[in-house]
Amino acid sequence: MRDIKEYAGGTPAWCPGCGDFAILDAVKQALAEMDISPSRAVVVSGIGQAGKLPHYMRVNTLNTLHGRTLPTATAVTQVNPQLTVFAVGGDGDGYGEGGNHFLHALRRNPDMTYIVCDNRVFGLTKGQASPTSDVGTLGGLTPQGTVYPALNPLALAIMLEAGSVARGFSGAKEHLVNLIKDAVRTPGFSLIDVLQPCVSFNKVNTWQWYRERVYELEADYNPTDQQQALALARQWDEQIPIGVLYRSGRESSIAPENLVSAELRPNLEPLLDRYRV
Amino acid sequence: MEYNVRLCGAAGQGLQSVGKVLISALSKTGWHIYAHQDYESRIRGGANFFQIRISDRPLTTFSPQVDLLVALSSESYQIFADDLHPQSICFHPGPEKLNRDFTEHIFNPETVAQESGGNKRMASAVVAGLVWATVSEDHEPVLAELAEFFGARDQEIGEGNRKAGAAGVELARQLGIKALAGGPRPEAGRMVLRGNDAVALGALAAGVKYVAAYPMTPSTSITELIAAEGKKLGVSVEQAEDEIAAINMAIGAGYTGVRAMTTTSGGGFCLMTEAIGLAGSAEIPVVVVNGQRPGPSTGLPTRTEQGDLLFAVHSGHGDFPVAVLAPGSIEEAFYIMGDAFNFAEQYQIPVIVLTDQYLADSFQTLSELAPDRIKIDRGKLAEPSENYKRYQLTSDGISPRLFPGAEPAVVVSAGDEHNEEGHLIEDAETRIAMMEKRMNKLKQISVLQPVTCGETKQPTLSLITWGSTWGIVQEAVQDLVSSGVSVQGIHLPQLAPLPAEALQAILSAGPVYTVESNFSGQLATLLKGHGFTISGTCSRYDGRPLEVRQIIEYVREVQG
Repeated sequence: MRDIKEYAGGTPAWCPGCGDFAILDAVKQALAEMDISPSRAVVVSGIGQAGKLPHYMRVNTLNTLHGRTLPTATAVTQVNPQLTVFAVGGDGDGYGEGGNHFLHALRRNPDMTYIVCDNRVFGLTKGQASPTSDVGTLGGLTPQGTVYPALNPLALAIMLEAGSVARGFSGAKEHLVNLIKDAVRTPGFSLIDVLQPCVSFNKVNTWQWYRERVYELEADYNPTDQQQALALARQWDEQIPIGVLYRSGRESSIAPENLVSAELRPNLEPLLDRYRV
Repeated sequence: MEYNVRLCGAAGQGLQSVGKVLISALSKTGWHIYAHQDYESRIRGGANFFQIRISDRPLTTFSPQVDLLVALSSESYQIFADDLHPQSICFHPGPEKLNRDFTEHIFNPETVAQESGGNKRMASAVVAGLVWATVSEDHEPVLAELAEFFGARDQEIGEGNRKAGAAGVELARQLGIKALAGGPRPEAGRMVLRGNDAVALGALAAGVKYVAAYPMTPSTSITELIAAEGKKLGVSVEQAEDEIAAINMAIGAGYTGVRAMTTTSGGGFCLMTEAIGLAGSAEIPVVVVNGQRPGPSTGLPTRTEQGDLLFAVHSGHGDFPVAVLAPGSIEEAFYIMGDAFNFAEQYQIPVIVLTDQYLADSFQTLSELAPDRIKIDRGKLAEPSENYKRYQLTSDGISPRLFPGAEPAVVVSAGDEHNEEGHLIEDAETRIAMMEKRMNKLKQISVLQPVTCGETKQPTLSLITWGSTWGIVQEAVQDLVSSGVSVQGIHLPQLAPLPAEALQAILSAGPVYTVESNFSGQLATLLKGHGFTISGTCSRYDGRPLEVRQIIEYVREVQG
């Protein structure tokens, strides 16, 4: 185990009480416990409050565009498989702007961990409904309340057989640390959707609201049963399970090669020969 | 000596196969060819052509003249019969003769193929033999080429095609068609390749290791070629879900430490401009090849235009340095990829390479390409250290790079405005420092010098062009000069940053015109923005490449 101070970064500019703090701590602690050096881990993020997460720690960082985290992170895993790659973003970033990339990351199943700080609202742009907001959520762009049902990213990921699919809660930090460690060790694409209160704009899904509902999956829960996993992914309102809901056992569909160490100019002679006359 | 052959027919009738066999056999026997393709946006049917210009001297462009037309469909010969002249010969499937002022023969290559090769699908070989017989008395080269081209997997099929080719030769003999007199001597050290092949080979020679692309005409075959060879050469190719993913993947790869590229056309490039800005702000090298086609929107999807110049130069919001390069020939398309990757890494900027459908799909005989002439320069690299700063302020604006994995350093890159460590900032002072750091690179960026032809001492007028139009301008200038007009042609392989001083130095007192395939004269607009006086533009925007005679007529018109 490394000293967690190795990953210490700048002071977060998040609102006091934000659920992101615990997620940041959990990522650092998981890295320290897994003995992954700051030079070997890469955190790719997009835009939004969650996108700022890698700036508040010391680690290789690629802070990209809104919604474009997953294709960028996928390439990082392809080019240098010796790196431990994380993608971090919010629900608007990953499921809205980046929805198409989310689907295709699930198809490709690249060997990485995707942490979504899911507060079910747009925070940075001040309180609009997000793809995971419930019907009726009031927001600046939906003054009568959203009429569309919330996207269920966990169900989607389970249907498309991601490497592993987990739900975390920023109020259960130690549990989250274990989820992150488990995700890093699991082959393929590991989604961790982290339930996280937005103290400024989400007045429904509060710390208290989650504490009354969230429960940890039993130690003997079998995550290889897809139907059961789907049923748990849909559990909401009264009882919300956290833990690894699903594990497909599927290896990454992309073959990573260490391209960084490859010869700069390969032998092109046989290829050029085809064009000689 | 010059001879122009047009093969026409419906999509899917094998025009490309006949064309490739012919241009390879012609080039091997010493001829120079320039071949271009004209095709519709459909998979089957329609009227497409593959036109081969054949000469004993090197060529820089096509010719619209048709001395021999071989039509594989009734529809296509009716369309292209208008392009024939009284000495032209035309072969077509009928059903009846047109009885116009040229020689015509009704023929059915499928019947000949069935009788000779045993399979009507060998009609392409019959056509190749027939065309060959009009060029040369020595038939072995084309027959050998047919056996090789079609027999790659199955020798028997190769032999059948050889027989069908011989039947095509015999058909021409029976009709009393004579081969061209004379002809060149075979020369060693030559290649025949297509524009997109040159781009792909150039990228490989420049050390590309990662290509992500979404298929879009006419750039797809660049990435397809690299994909076919990727495994052997250690290059990763990813078919992205869209152009947005494609360029962001290339940026991710560039950040991780390899030379990365994406290929697209204008519509796809539109989607990529958001990430062009990311590469600009985060200073991550990326090369984007935009094979232009007519726009806006889907425009004419399979045709040619140079309509994305100003868009490329100004792509992305905000101020940041971009380099825009445009090869003027197939040969230059190969070497310019070396410059593109070097500029991207030396200056840590996005580099856009503009080609177009005409260049992408044209084939040419040229001198052997030399990969060693492409020098790989990865720019300033840092020694790993605990306090490495990705955006260290330096006098030349270029911060030494490191890649993730370099213990004990961390590499922090961001599209948001950031400090020297790469972390987000809001303060005005740091913003100014970073803005100046990035824009300072413009002063460092070396430029590809303008290239000239014709009367370069004291020309009475100058024609400036860019991209594939250069080959057409070169021939027009040559013709004009030999008819006594004092004109120089200038090609700008680099459009941004513009080599304004170098261009100023080669311009004389006479009027300056631009030649370009777009409606508004985008190069003229660009040059005017740099303070140049442009008297007019010779343009074409119907989706077809400019022709030599159009440029000559334009010059005669402006001269009064």
